Amino acid sequence: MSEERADQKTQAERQATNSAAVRRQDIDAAPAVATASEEPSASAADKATDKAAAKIAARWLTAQSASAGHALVAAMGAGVVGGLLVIGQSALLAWILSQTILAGAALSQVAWPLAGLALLYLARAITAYIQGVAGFTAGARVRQAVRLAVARQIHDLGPAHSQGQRAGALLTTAQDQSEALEGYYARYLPQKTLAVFVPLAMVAAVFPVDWLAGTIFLITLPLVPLFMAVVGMGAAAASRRQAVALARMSGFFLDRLRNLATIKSFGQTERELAAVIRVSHDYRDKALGVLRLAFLSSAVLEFFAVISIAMVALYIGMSLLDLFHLGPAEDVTLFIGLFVLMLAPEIFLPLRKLAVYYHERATALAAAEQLEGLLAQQLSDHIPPANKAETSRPDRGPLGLEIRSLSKTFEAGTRPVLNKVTLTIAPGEKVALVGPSGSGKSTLIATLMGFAAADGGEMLAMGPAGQEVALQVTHLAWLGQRPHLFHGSLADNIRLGRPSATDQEVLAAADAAEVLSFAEDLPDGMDTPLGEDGHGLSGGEAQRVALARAFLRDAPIVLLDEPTARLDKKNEAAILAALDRLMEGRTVLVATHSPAVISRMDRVVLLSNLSEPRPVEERLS
Amino acid sequence: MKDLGFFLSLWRQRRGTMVLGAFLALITLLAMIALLGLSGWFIAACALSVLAPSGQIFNFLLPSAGIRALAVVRTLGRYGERVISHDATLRILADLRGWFFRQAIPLAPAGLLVHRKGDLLARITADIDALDHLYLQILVPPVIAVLAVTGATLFLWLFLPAVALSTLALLAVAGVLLPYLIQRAAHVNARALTVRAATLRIDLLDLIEGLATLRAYDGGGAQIARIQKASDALIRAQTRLARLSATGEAVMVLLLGAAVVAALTLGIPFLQAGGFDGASFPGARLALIVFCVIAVFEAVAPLPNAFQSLGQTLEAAKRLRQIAAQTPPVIFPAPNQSAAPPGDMTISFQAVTFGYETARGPVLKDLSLTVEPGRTVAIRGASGAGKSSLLALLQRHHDPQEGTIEIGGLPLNHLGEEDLAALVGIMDQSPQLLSGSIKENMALARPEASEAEMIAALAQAGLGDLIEQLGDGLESWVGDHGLRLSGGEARRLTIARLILQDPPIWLLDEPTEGLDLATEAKLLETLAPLLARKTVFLISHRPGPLGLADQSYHLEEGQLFPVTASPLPTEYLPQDYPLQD
Repeated sequence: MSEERADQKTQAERQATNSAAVRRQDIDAAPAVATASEEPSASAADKATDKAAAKIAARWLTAQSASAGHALVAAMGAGVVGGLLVIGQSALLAWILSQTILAGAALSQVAWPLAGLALLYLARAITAYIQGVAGFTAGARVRQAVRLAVARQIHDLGPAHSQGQRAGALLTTAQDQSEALEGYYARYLPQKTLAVFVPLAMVAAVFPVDWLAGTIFLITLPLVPLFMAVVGMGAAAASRRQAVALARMSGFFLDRLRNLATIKSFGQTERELAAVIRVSHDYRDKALGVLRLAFLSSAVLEFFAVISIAMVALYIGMSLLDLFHLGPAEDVTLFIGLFVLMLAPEIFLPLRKLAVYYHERATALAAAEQLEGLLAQQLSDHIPPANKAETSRPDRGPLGLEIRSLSKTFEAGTRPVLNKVTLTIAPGEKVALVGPSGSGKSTLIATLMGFAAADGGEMLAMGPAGQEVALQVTHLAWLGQRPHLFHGSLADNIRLGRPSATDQEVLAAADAAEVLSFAEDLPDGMDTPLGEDGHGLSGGEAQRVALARAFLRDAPIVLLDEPTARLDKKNEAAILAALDRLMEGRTVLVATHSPAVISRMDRVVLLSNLSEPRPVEERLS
Repeated sequence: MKDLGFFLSLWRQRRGTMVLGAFLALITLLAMIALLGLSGWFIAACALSVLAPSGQIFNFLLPSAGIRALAVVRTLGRYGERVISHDATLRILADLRGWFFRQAIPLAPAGLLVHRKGDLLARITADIDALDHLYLQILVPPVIAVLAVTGATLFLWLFLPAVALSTLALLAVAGVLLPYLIQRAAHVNARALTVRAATLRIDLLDLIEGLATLRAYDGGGAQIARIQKASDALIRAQTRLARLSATGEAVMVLLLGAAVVAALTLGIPFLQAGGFDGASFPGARLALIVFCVIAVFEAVAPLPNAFQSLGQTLEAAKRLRQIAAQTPPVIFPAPNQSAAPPGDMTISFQAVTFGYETARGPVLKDLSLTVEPGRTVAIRGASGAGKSSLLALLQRHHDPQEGTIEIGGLPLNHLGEEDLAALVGIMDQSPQLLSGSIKENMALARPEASEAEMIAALAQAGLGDLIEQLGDGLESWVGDHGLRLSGGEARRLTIARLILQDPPIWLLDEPTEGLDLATEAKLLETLAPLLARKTVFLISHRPGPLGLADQSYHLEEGQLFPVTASPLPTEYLPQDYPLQD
């Protein structure tokens, strides 16, 4: 991987990559735990794809503005009206001044214009408020729409996609990167329009009163973007380099901080401290070189704004003194002079604001690349067969499971994890699925659950009389390796198994799954809040909660993925007792290593992809 | 504010650059005020001089030269101010990182893990990033605003004290009262904002991490509805803040209008009454005053923003200082007071009881164990049983609450930090590689090692071929930004580091976790001969690594139980079948 491209990875991505090694153990059945160390390092090609990606991201950003609706138009409209008000305000103020200075008007004679001036300021204050609120609303609407689209996409792509190392990156995408769009729609986009229309309106107002001053503005105004583009092109490339340097410096600091324990274990803290300081100062040297160039563009903007004020002031002054006779100079009055002078700084203001908001665009573009990448992922590959099927269900009663030459390959070109697996489980039969780590046990369970789409084969539920229907999620109760506890009460967590269940039924399920025995010790019993902010349960207790969901589900087929892995003896005993109750009268397929679980089954089946794929029907006991 | 003072004193060496940057910013601002004021006066004076009785000659050369000069000062000042103040910011940035890293050294790793919730390191870096902007965005604007406003007020005072006072009063409202009121109103919302952002984060995390459960139980729709609700609530809180800041902008416009109207209302009668006595063009003074009043508002424009960031930055400063001010979890004897490292590598735990403060009870209870030099001891047990705590104690990341740990009869807490580091080497569950070149990673183990020694160690760890294939050899970049090493390769690199460091005691924490069996077997083949002469603590639940042990123990309920035979009825399982704990 080329350094440049790697450097542009987001923080979250880097963290995710870093924790990849830790997370790998979670993905038992995924040989996708990439072992490829040779990545082609074609940096020219990378740059080209970077540019293409930026273009796609920019197009995506534009498309999203549809979600903003009228708010965006309102923000721009308010800004334009505000600009027009500035013109009126300048004219009125210039008139008041010229009347009092030249004609010696008394305060009472300019009372009405003065009141008008106050009203114009009031009106401008109102447009400023509307512009601010409407801009925010535009950004908020886009963020909301994008965030929901991302949540739906995460849901539809399924657990196989959000597993392990991607979880952190997905969270960043869904929350932080959708938030990062705010400034683009709230400020940058309206300002982009204002930066064109407001200066033009002002120049148009100057032209009728003094075309020469108007021409001065008309010449200096386009020169600003032109010169900024010339300086800016260098500056943009330079600032990209600086962003890379900053990311590298921050990355270095974070990396050394994260690895401080390792550094200490080698007794090299002083050396790395020196390195942290050195890298920070190196960054300063590099960044300053870049910034000197980048600041030229702000100096150019400043120069034109200032020079047009100075030129206008001198031209007007000379004309008034009768020392300058070109064009409209003869007709220049104090009113015209003051009016034009007052507008001079205002004409450049929208451009200066645009320059200030420019970074919002860069922020949004970076976020858009991630968002677009996630949202553009093809769903078709991921729609599990179970969801495509009709929702009919055979009568209540035991259902068997029929798997026919089911295949699954995670990455094209790699060895299949499931290679034409065929397995029949009679209604009420209990089967243990064994095999070494990585042999595809979890993948088989996940595929049956519809978490990952199969590449080929059939999965069917089979009624007692042999009638077959496509396997559906409603036929299945499931218990995974690592139960997830949701933010909510203990009872809420169990009720997830069947939202329509009564309190009695929830309690019964909790009792059957040995949850009540520890729930009594919790501060609020079944109402104790769990999850991220709540009460922590041990791994075994969490597993019992997940088991209670399966009880509540009351489905004819039970799929269990290593239900007793990593448990201490006490919890293992509780889970086994509960499992005995759950398996009663149901069809069971359990992926396991545990002799205690295996001994409870009717049949053991070996799944192995280490050797040549063997038919799964091989019996071992 | 105390925290602010602390960081300012931390940066006292940078005072010169910081003051220069602020000075240039002030000049730039004053140049603009002067330019507009002078231009307004100049135009009015020109108009008046034509009407004036002959004899009053207007020397237009001086003001027009002034206008040109101010335009140049403004442009150059802006450029210089940008460069100098960013130079100061970048110096501060380097100082800040050096300071924090130095503070973090005695705390790591235990002291940096106290806050369990959230990613502390990510928060620390975010806080440091926030402090980077303290100077440029928070300190400079108010300082130059005060100076510029004072200057402008004094200047206006010379011509018309009443306007000076009215302008000063309105500037004070715009620059102090308005930001303060907005900040106070926002503060109420800021808390709601944090809570709602956290709720949204939790709901999203539940979707992502609980997706399998949601899909299994058709709970996805309900969870997405929850996310929508949380997102709506967050946006409502943000809306209140957006309204507040829009109100701030609107009020700023009103205050400017009020200042202009006040200047005219006070100035016009004064002019009519024959004020500005003795001035060559009295009327031009009114133009000067009005233009100055408009321009001086530029000084207070950035203050609401600075005020808003101030709160967040103070919080960041406070958090960083709190982390830095923690008492280190263990204190090592000073180098001159530490005992000489032992020659005997017998490790003994004597009646050790240890628990984390936050945990429910002790993890290790009255645990005793003696490991003879050169032996390999394996520890098994359920996750959370305390296996890793055992290794953490041996590295002195923590001290046990009761009992002692000795190496060669010498209590661990008599050893100097560097001496202990030289005795004990660790291979972590997840390979900890610095993001940097392979050479940098190797140098961590022994900075003075030659390249030949490094290559020899890498070859011994089984990476000889890989290094040869890499175009950059030892200079190849690994870690975050670099080459993606496979799980096996990354572990081999950590082994190579240990070979180069050559400590007599090796701690291996799940050395083959997450590897497939074939990779594990090859790795163990490399590891076995290296461990022969070492005293080794090994944690694993896989049969492969456990095969290396001379003696295995099972850790449960804080106690060690010797394992004599495998509890598994292996006859029913294939040969390559992993062992259950």
